[in-house]
Amino acid sequence: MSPRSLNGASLLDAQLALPRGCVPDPDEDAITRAAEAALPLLERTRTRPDVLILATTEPPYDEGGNVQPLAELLGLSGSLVALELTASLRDGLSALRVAAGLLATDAVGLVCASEPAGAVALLLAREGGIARIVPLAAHVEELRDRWRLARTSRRHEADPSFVSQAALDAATSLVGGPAAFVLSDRRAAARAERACGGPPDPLPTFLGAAHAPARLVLALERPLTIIAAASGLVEATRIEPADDATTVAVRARRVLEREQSRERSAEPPPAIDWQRIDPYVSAPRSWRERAQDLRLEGGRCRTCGRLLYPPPLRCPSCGSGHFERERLSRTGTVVTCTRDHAYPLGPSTGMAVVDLDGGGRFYGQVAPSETVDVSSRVRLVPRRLHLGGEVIQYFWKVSDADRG
Amino acid sequence: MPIAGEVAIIGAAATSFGVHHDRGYLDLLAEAATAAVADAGVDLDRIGAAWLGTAEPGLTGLIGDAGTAVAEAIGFAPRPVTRVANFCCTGMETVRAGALDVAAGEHELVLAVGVEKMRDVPSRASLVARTTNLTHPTLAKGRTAPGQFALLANRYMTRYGVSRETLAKVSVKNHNHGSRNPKAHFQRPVTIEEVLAAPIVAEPLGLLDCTPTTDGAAAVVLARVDWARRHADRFVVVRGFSTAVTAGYYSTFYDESWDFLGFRATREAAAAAYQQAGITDPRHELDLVECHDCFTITEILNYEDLGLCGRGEGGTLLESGATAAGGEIPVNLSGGLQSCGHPIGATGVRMLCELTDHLLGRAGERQVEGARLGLAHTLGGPGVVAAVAVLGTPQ
Repeated sequence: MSPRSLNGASLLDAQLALPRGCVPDPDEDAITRAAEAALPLLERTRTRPDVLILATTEPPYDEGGNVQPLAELLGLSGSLVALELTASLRDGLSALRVAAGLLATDAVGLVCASEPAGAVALLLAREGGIARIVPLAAHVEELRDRWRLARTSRRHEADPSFVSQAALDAATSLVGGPAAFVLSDRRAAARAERACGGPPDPLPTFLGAAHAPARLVLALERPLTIIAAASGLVEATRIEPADDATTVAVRARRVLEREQSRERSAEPPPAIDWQRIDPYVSAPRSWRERAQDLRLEGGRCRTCGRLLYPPPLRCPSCGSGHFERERLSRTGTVVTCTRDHAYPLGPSTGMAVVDLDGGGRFYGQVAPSETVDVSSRVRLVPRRLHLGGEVIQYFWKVSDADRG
Repeated sequence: MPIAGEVAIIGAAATSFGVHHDRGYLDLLAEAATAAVADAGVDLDRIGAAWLGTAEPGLTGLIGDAGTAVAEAIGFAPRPVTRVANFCCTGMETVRAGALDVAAGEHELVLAVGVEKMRDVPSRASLVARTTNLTHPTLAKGRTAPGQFALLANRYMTRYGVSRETLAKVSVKNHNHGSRNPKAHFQRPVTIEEVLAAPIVAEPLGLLDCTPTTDGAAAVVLARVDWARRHADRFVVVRGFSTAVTAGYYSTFYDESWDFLGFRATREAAAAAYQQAGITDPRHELDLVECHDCFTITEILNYEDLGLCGRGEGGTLLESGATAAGGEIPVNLSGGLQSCGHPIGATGVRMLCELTDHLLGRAGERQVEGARLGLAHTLGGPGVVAAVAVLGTPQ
């Protein structure tokens, strides 16, 4: 049964982001991963979206909202329609449907479907892109296969055979013909794909709400119908690329190949015991300084032109007190560094001083699984710095540039 | 009138430095203050004001949070007492405040006492934990004291091709000096091998590249030189005393003009102190130096910033032996922070006590023969505040 009206949208561009070696660091989450996908996309396309939709099944906050820090990290805070969908793995496709419905003639929408293990950022408009996204059918029924009650910590699961069968029944009844399936039971999904002549799944790890959009982007050279189903919530979406969609697919495949080929050591990165420190935090301070913290915004001295971070009251070079706000570049060169065994989080913490391309200097932590040297080329990546006051303090950390 | 040439130290004394579980903050304060006043040969009643230096009163349950501690420890009511703090320059800043007091003619005799009780909490819970938890939520989060000096060590070693062995020799030299200081925290000499094999704290600095966590107190009594000439048995003269503050606690790390090869604060404070004291060739005019060797790398940078040698030549100066006992310009004959430890508020005062002992010919085994001019230097925070004092025998 197909819904009465279907608003499609046009895909302008997309970006896949995967963690190093396909294994996230303990200071990464759905928000940082979404930023890693969306930042290069926004810089490349030089657009400022009017709509931002976050889809994730691992939202860091149960209450208070998750899309806000993402908007800040992307430099989109301010005038913006911002929404989040956090119920189900099908929400990556639901976000596309919602975005399509919201876009008026000239508007641009950014959908970030994201989990810690991977994210896809998609830029949409009414018309004029490289592919057509057509929401097909949607379906809902009450099916408690996997659930956790609010304000409890216990996850429940029904009999796995019931879970996969129910999802499969709902999914396969939706549309006919070859299709890709995204279900939490990946083997059942693979069987369904083989049965209907759908394409195999190229992703090595399961990406939750990002999985279906990621498969769409990776397969952008030919039309694809994809169905995502879990817990009685099902979405079917079709993508119809034009000729120039290849670049986007190739770029995404390169990201996948690069991270698949990177070796991680046999041990996963050690978890961080965030409770080992109890940092001073202040909500007014966080709000006042959100631009320097989350947007890496410094001040350009109006008198002598020097770019300073954080934005000071007085220019240390010329003494002037007038500044223009400007985001620093996130790439640079290491001036000096150390590995500190005294800082209590983790066995050791890399610290680096980085001179950023185009001006400004950064001093901060190195990403947990990485090492840098004097003169290394590096880039700044968004990470969790600490959880003081049970607020996630996002900030920038130093990462080896060849990783990006 | 200005301090230089006009202010005298007429009494000086320090407690032993170490882990003193049997003595609290007030005990250490009383011990140093009483001994300094006795050394000055005056009655406590004649002292008009006191200045108290303590950098981390949070480690003591806030006993040293204000000057009230002096009134409590030695019976000083109702005279004025002010607590002074300026990171690791706290001790010297306390003496400088007292010197300004007497130079202004506000009080005839002034007591300056630096006290730090750091071991009432486990050493991990002291500076590292406080730096981790109390500092700005994002800027420089992850910085520790050894971590920040390690940044300079790495930059310096890369730029000038200096090795860890050279740094280790600072520790060897100063622990050797400290073996002749019955008040030092650690009095056992160490070998290069021990220094290199010690557990790494922040690469490349190991445990023996770092000053320990220590309790201690030291005090001086100050008067005008003209008062001292008339009334004191013996005294030393403050020839120069200068403090320089160059940048913010966090912002300095984000300033591209910092090359991580030295500290502008030391250079500025030294230049001003040398000018006050009429010194143009510190390497040859000074008889001894007490400088801020919180980490081995810091002493090497201090040689350059204090003008004892040129930029990049600090390692060479150390290797030459010129800064060891018996050398041309002995540095940290007391054992320095490496051997004495660093009870923050007391350190600068201890340095001035050490210089005073040499200038009065009473430094015993450590004595520099015929010492006439000495320099003390402390460096605070991320190196954004420095204090330099030059003391001399009366002319």
